Amino acid sequence: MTANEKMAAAELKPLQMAIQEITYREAIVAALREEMRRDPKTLIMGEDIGASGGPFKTCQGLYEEFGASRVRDTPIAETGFVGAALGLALTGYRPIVEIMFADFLGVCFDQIANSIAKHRFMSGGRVKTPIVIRALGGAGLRFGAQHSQTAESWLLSVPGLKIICPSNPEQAYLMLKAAIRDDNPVLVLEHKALLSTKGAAPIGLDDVAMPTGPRVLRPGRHATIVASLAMVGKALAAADRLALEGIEAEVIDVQVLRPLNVSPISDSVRRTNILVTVEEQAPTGGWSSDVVADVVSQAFDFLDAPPARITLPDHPLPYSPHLEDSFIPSPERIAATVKSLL
Amino acid sequence: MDFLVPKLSATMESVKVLRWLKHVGDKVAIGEPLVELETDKAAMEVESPVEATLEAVLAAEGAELATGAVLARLGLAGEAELASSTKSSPATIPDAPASPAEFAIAGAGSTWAATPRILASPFAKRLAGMKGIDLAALAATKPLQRIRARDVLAAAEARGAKEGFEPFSTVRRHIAEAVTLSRRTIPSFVIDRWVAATAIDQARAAHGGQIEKMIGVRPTFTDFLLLALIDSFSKHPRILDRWHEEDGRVGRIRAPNIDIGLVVAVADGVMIPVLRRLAGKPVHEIVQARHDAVQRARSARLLDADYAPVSFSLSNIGKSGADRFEAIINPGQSSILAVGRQHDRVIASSGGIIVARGVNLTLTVDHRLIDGLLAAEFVETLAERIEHGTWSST
Repeated sequence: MTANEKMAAAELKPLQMAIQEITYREAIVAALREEMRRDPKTLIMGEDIGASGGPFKTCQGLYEEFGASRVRDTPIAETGFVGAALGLALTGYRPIVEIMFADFLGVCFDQIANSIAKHRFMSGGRVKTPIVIRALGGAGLRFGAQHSQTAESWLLSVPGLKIICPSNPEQAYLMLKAAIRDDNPVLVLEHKALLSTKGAAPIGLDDVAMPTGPRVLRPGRHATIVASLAMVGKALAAADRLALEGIEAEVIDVQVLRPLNVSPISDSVRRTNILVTVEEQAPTGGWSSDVVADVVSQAFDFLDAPPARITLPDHPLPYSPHLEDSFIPSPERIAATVKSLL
Repeated sequence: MDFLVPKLSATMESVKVLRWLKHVGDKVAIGEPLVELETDKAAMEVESPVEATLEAVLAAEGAELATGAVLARLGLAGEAELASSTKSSPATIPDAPASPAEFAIAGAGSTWAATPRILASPFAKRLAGMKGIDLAALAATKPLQRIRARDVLAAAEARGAKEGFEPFSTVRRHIAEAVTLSRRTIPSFVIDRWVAATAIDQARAAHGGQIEKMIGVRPTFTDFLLLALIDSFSKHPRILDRWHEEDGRVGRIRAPNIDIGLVVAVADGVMIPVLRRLAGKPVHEIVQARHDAVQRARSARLLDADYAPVSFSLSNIGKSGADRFEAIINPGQSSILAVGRQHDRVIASSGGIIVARGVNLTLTVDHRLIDGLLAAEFVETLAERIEHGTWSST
């Protein structure tokens, strides 16, 4: 069954839930489609998302179903259309914007950090700002230094925002649906390298809720590995390798960067006594710094080794394929780091 | 000037540096605590002998040092400028950590690097606390060069293997060494005498309230024993002679003052704080001195003076079980008086029999210094003083 056929099936029975093996990209499309059907005030804006279905085909079929008024191609001007999203939200709409490359969040940083994140608070709670900003980030696809950043840390310190980062099709589907229904601005960081990864997702599930913290994807008792986005898969692969040597690593997907809830990670460390974080960002100021700091505060007496952070080098991402590949944390490196702490 | 490990007790051969109370660069006044050391008897603070600046810490926390070893370098107030103008290199530590990496983990950026301590993970420390494992006895392991949880667990398991084995605390170990040394090297004998305590009881009843009103401490039976001992030592000062051996010559050292060590039971051992220069002191000062000594022992904060030589100790068992017991002379001392619990006894008196309340005094003496006759005369004097002497409240 092709993706389109699956969506066609979903169209016939919109509230019929079925576990389907789909890609991360299809999960995003399915979530957008279902939520736009659910609420006519929902619309999506972005660069090349109309008839072409989006640069990464994450809006495939939406233009055909919902038309140009609800699936709007925009100029290459993020400040403008992200600002327009705030205006739409204030006038009763539920806008979604797609940022083609998460790197471009820098262009509309002021709209997000100073306007969208603060409007509800500054109006004394009189306005709602149900805005979803989807941004596709991540390295590994030879896009070079300016088109490969995950941007996870950029808006981490802005109160008023929620930031989520799905690492598999199920999360991409469920978390995006929950984000669209949220009355507060949610930044959804998606990863380009995950778009074609497959996984089971409960397509058609209507009862969705925003997760409140990290999620344990694989239980283990010897070490805790915390990762986000594409690094989750690397961590799971590292856990597979470690398992061959009898080392049981617990893999946790941080999945909600803001508000960051470290308590479940601390609980894990209380059992494993070892903490390793994996983040696809330069080492300074990322979420893993906060995770380590909070775990040290919350579970100090349970640490049996200094927490280890695996990150990208403190350097712009190189375009050279060999260099790019060597920049990205590998399962081997994660497994070796865990072993060095045992 | 060099700040050396002082000789803090007769049996002391080494100390462990527990904690520096000053940082390099700090100014210290005379008598200001500089470092906390653990001796064979207790943890104690050692004070600065001079007004100075702490220029360099030369013994790390956790280090074991012999008496006389250099602990730190102190810059005297006058020579500070001179030293700083000629000195080109900063204070250094002779025992640098084995590998730079190890130290970097321990605390890079620390302004006083002289604190290599027991490197153990927080979880290892927690487990060690829970299982009663002494981290100092474990070795740091690779790859992190520190004691890990698995090391503590292995130690706990190894200990468990020797069914019920429990290693000694430092204090307990030193007590074991001291009593063994005493038994092996001090040829002692024991004499004893029962004395009626009626006079002391009456004196306590008569003067106790007044003394308590004066200093806030109620006199105990021990205080009156101390008074009786002080008077008896005045009459028989040779009882306080101490054994001395130097350059192949043996002899005695005559005690210049009347000092009495007081054996105080503490958790897992005993401590012997010392009451100094007791001759001629009024009762309330004796009571106060005894009270302070007990407090020092119970809080494990003995003073330098408690470790200086003393000839005699008093061990009063109080109300606990035994009528009579023999104490072991603390090495470096020449006698010890063991006082049993108060009890009633039927005694012959003036051709009749009476029931009287009293205690057994059991004196253990070093025969190398003291013969039976002297010991007997001393005990006779002491008994007379206790039973028939007069007590005043001043």
